[in-house]
Amino acid sequence: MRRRVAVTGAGVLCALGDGCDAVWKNLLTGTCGVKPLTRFPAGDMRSPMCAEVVPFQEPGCEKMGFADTLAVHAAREALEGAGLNRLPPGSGIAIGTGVSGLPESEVAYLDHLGGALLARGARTFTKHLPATAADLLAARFGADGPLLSVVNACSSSTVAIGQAGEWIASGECDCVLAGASDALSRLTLGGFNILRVVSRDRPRPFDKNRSGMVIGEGGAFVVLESLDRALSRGANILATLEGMGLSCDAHHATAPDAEGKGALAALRQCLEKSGVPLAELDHINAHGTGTGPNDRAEGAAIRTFLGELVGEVPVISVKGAMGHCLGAAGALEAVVSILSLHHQTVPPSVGFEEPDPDIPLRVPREPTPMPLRTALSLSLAFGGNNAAICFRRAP
Amino acid sequence: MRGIFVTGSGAVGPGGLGAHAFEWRTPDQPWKNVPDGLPLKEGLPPAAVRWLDASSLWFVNAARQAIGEVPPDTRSDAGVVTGLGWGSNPPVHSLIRSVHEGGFSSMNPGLFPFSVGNGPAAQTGLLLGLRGPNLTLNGKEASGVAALVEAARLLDSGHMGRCVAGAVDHIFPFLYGLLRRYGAPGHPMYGEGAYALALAAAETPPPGSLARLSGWASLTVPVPPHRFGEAAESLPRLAHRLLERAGWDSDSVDLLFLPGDTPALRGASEAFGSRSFPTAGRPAFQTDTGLCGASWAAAAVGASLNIREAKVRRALLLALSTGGSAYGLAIEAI
Repeated sequence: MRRRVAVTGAGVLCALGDGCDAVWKNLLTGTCGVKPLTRFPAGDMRSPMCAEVVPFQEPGCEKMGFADTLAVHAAREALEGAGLNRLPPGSGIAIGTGVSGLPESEVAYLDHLGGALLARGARTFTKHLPATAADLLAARFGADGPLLSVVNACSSSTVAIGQAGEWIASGECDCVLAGASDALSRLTLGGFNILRVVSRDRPRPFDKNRSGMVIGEGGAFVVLESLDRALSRGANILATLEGMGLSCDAHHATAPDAEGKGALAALRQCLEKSGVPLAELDHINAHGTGTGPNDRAEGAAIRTFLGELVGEVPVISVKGAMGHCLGAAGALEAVVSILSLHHQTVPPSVGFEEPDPDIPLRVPREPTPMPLRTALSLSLAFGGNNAAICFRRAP
Repeated sequence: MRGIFVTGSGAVGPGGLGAHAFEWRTPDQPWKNVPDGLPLKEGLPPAAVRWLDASSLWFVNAARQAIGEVPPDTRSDAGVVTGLGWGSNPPVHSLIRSVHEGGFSSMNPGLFPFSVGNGPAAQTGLLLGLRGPNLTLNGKEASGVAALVEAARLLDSGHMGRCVAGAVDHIFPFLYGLLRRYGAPGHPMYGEGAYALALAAAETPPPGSLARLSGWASLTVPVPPHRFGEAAESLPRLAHRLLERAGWDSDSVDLLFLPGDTPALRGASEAFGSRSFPTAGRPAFQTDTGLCGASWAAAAVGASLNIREAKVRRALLLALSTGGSAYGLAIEAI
């Protein structure tokens, strides 16, 4: 028999702020965390715009890569929110990442190309391995159950959180720390720039005048527990995780299918697995990168998915506020979805001002208090790897 | 009762394709490399494979061998689960080199999609028409079994009815130099390749099935990320959990695959194997195929082929990775 899954803690760190309270407050006020790059020289990049994480402190992480430090910081907030110092025995960890330790290993490789052979040591390159973050979190917070490190580009953390929920639902374990972190790197900033998809201004997801995406960085984690366990220990339940949908476009290495068929399949499987009727879906936190074809394709998928409800269900993207945090995007958006349910308010889709007639969705420009029973978070990745997870308001 | 069945296997390895992958023939190479000249692009659209990196090309080939004659119109909900060890680094390094030599504007946009970890899985979905769940994960040295374990979980939960699952790794000169300088001494020779199983969830074994997955499990005993930790603790815990889930007695195991990445780990594994499974054969798969993140997927392919050929009935795979994660699989004859 499948068990229900509770979210008992959440932590987040990004360009909008440090912590759930700060990020939520800044989202509601329409703050945009996009600024010109300062972490390293932008050189001849077409656009220097990015969303760097706000300054923060996390003692004991001096030897870790920056992405791992982001993970520890966000994970710690999530655990504290769940009222836990350490994870209980048998707990798992599921993380997603896009670049993991690339910010450090690319610097080491650049040194190597400059003649300083392996000057920074081998550990700089072992930090490159995505599974390192899960190992570090397991050691720090005491997990001895299953570990999972998803490398699915932009849908990594949605997959990680969804699969963590499946572990609990199936009885594989009772508690999982799930989430992601990603940090700015020369490869990703340069790579998306060379594809000419980065805005020189700011991201405006679903807006008629959108001009591209902006890369961000951050970390976000949730603590998932079996609902029975959460109730029995009197945990503060933020929401429940109801199910996951996964699909592959099988269309193109980078571009989405114009009709969004793959995204539609993920959305439908998510609702089916969640047991949530479409009429009970109250909100979608979309992928919404702010690029021309991606927003259009996603809009087509959501329109088909919602059918007659398309004018009623608010759809937002938070990438207009915090940038596209690659592998961590899904986790950040999951936390925002959970906060939306907790506060019974849909935040504004920051950056959205003028509707695109080709994307007829209900995209709020202002904070919208409203009854929210459920919220669905959708992530679409390079290679057409699509993932959706559905949350329900806490019982 | 619904089960998970192995319906096919595929391999691209140091000896070539399929069963030949396990036959390494060029002892004068610095590592067990996939040879040049294999017909890997045959039957694939030329424009689609023009920029394909080695990892993606190998995994696509291992996957299409595993899928075999399954009609394309039945593949739409089939998934892909791919394990990566070191990952596809040549595109990453080529792009970084471009930045070093000519600035960001000199980066090759055609290479960028292949610098992302999910390239092999995405390309497999794209080129073979597999539209179900598509998942890439990193389990370091144990990536092959890690992928098969998560594939089993996704099949069991009904997120897909069939899939291709395995792992791929690609070694190249810079990585080899790094491993040779800093890697553990006494390890088996490094290798590369792609190995995959086709899996299906069904009430009865599909025609042509090789074997059944009777159990899967994962756990961790945390240690620093670059260390293997205490095999004496991990292996018994993992084995116990697997045997319980598969409903097996330890003396019914015919083939036992154990980690041998370093001499210390090999010693601890041997001691455990001799004590707990004294009658089981213990193939030296990491020596045969070369050490890499795909080695354990090679072990799973090897186990399935041995079971299909009725050489053994039950195989247990117990994998460890640095950082302390342990992944296990129980495969048996139908």
